[in-house]
Amino acid sequence: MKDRLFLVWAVLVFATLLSWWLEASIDRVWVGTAVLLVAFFKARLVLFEFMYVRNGQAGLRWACETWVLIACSVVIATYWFAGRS
Amino acid sequence: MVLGELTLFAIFFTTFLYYRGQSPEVFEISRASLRQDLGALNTVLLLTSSWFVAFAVRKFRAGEYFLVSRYFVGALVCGLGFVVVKITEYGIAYRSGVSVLTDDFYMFYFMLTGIHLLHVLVGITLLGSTIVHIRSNVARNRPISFALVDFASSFWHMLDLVWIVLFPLLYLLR
Repeated sequence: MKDRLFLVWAVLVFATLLSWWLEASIDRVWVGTAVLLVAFFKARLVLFEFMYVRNGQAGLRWACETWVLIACSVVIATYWFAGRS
Repeated sequence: MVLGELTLFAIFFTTFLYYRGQSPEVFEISRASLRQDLGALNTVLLLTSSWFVAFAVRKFRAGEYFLVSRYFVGALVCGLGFVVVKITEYGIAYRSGVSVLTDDFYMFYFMLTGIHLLHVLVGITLLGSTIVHIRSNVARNRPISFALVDFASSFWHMLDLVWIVLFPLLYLLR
């Protein structure tokens, strides 16, 4: 368990540095989309691993999965379409 | 409660992106003036604090109560580090003549990071209270409140979750 938590922390830090590097290197909408996807992937990792939702009841797991999916979709859709009308 | 707070912040994020779409040039110029390195440092500090809190909960379930308070102290130190970095950022902005009235980007920047910082200060108080509760009850051989440990850890993770999305929105998205 100790190693699993360390692995999750290392992935989260790596993903943070990767997002920072990507956004500093390339100016494209798809890079912005990838950075947002990575952010919600990190949020899901914190929910399921650090908050132990992974070991929780099925209802809680589904509520968290649904929240991440809806929030991610709405944020990315707004990023894509805001100001284009 | 956590999902409710997160939903409120998700509405803030969407509102920010909507306004960003209305004047992308203004938002981009102001975004580029932020210190991305300090934003990334704060992200790592909060991720590390969440890691400490996850360990604390694990130790609580194992009945190793003294270690619970040690891990909470680790999270508390990271949280204080976050506050110091954030205040440093505000100081840099103030010295360069930037304020909440500069433009829409900075209005959102100060509002979103300010609300988050207030939550961090509440979280630090909560962690501190939990540490005192654990240490005093361990010393007196009294039971430790799981509800308090659970609430403090969930609240702290919520701060991390908000910042995980706030960092790319404010500092990274071009």
